[in-house]
Amino acid sequence: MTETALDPILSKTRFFLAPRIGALLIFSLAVAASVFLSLTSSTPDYARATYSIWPALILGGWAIWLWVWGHPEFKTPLWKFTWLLGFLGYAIHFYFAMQTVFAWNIASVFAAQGAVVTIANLLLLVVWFLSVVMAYLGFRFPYLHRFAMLLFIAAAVASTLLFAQETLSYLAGIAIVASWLSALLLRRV
Amino acid sequence: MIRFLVNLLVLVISLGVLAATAGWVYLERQWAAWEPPTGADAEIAYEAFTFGPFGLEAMPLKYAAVVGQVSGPAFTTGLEDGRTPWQTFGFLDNPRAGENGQPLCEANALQKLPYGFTVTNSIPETALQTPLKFAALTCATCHSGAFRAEDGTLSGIVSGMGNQELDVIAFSDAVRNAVTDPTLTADKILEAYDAQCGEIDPAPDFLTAQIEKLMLGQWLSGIRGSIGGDFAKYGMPYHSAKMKSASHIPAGPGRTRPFRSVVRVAVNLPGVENYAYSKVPVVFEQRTDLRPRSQYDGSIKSPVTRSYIAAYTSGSSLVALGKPQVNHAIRHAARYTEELGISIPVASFRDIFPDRAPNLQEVQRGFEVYQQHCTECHGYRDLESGDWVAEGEYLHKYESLDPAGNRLGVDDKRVTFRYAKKLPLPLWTALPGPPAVADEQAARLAQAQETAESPAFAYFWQQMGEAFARNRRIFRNGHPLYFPECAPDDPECTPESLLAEAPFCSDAPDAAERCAITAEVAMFNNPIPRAFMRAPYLHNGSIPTMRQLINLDPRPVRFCRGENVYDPDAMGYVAPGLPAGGSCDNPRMPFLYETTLPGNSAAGHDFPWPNEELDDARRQDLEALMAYLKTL
Repeated sequence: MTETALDPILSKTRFFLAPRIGALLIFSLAVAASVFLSLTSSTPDYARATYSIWPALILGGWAIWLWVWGHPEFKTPLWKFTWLLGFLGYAIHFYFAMQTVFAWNIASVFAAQGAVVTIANLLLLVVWFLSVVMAYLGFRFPYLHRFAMLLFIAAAVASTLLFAQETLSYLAGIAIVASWLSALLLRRV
Repeated sequence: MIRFLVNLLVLVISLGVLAATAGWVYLERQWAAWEPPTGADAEIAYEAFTFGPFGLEAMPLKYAAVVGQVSGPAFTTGLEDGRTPWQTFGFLDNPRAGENGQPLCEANALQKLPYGFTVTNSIPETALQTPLKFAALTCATCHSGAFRAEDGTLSGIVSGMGNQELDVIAFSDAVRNAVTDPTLTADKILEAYDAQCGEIDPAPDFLTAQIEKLMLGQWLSGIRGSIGGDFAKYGMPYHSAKMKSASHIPAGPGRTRPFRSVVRVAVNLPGVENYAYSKVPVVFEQRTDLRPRSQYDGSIKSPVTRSYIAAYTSGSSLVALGKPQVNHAIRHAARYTEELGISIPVASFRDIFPDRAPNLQEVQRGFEVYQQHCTECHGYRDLESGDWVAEGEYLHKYESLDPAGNRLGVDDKRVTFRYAKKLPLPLWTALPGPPAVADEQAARLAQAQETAESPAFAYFWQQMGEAFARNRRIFRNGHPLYFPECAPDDPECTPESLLAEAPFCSDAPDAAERCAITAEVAMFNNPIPRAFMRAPYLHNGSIPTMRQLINLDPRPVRFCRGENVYDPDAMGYVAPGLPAGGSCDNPRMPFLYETTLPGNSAAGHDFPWPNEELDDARRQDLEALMAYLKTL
């Protein structure tokens, strides 16, 4: 399956930079920024755990945009790739958070974040992983993908808007939600 | 074709950025790798006390090696008199330095740095670990001492004894002054270092050298901004001979202003009017059954908490204190002080001054005098077993310094300074506890805000609450050094009982009684093992000898401090009284101690008798008492 085979718009648009390469560039820069910018913080470990959520939000948010915009024919190579990169970003965030903030003590995660948030986060990790694997293996699991993406949306909205600790986080949350709404408005079907 | 090449280039760049990022994270793991030491408990504890970092990196090691060259005018006092700058600040020579004449370099740093320094690769405050090595302070920097003989030489180092020559605040000003020099650059430091150590150190690989240089520049930029930004709160650092002048830095050798630091660090308020001086104390036999409360004022229970607060208020950040190796060092160093002098041997008076040892008959007579007049407050050391017996009517009780009923009569500035009663809650909440405890900490800060005595203090508590909320997010599972904690052998201790005892300390009328720190306006009666190593006496070091403390000799009103000779007969430092108007002209004893100044009073503790009530019989009793005190 080629990138343009299922996508009438992309098939008509010849981007100078291939979208998947652009996604990879954004992902790599976002991951690098989260790692190296944390070095300028007075609390580098915590900053890294915090900043590392942004690659997941950006790439995962992009995949959600493609889902909303292209539904029901959303499973393009670009969606799969952004969804994969978003998951990798989330896995990196999970690693940094578990290592530096919680010292791999799952009980302390429950104690600090509460059962609902912790279970939701762990569930997202598992479901997102399965969704990515199934998408790349070509299996049809529409409910799995839908559940993973809805869980992602809920987690993104909750973390950036409902539990925002900083103005930047709040503004970014608004931007992400606004972009998804724009996808609704621009839906191609 | 161009499109293909651009896409290929972006692909390569993207993968390169990812690889570089992953490589950096991998290298960070290598730099931060640390395994807890294994071996005998006593050895681990000694290593933690002597070489364990507690988050106070003084300066990059390469800078420390050449600081006299590149920052000479800022780092020296002009009173060196043939000594190195380090010796002038009172640091002890490292007995492992040897006589090979090599300069201090990275390859020999643990041998050539002054005693009590260690080497870490942790950047101050952020605790980032990189290839850049730092010279860092340990507990032994301050809490190891030696006896100076009449010929100026020093005895062997005694671990656990306070270094009464160490001018740590002057050293701090020298560092602040040196690093804010706008002409000081990473290149300047590295050029001087390479010229000095190029043939001694193995050359670092290219990547490591570049990272080192980058980090050195970053450190310099960061600390310059940090120190410069603190001028408004701390004032400008003093320089040259002013660093040794009592009229500029009034703490002087062997003393600190601990609560000025606490006020600045824990509640972010100025400490200019704080005269709560404290000598660098000995740390022997700190086991909690003998010494249930640490500090002269009995403000802290746990030795670990005492050590943590010492590190925290010296400038160690919460992030650094949370690092496993720092956590390990503080806990094991505290354990070392509990056993030092009990299961870990310490040299006795007879060991160090064998030709001045008292005769046994005199000691026995002195023991009787001690039992009559001293045991009730301090307990005693049993002559046969050698164990300290913690029995006494007033032992482990507070001696009030409130004007009414104050029989002790010593300087009260240590417990009456401004903001003293505001400290317990901020100190307790500086380290977020586990989630359930953190809820309670937040609630008490909120309650303090609600019950504040004025709008300004309501704002103050609000700020404390916000700072706590930030720290709580960082240490979600509680800070590794959160206190208090139950002793392993205390079955009655529970998290709930600890919480019930935790500082309440709002401004509510009935809350102050529950403040555990300084709220008593009192000193705490504790045992006094190794009394001969405790000179100068009283908490503020205002009485040079034991003979003066027990009023056998008059107490000097003005005297000079620095490299004072130790007089074993008088059990203390030779510091002749100066007449009014006299000055301390000896560059090795430049600090003028005036007991008439705030915080410096030598009054009080007139036990067994005030000087004017002495007769010949009592003098003989006191001479005998001196003999017994030498055996403690």
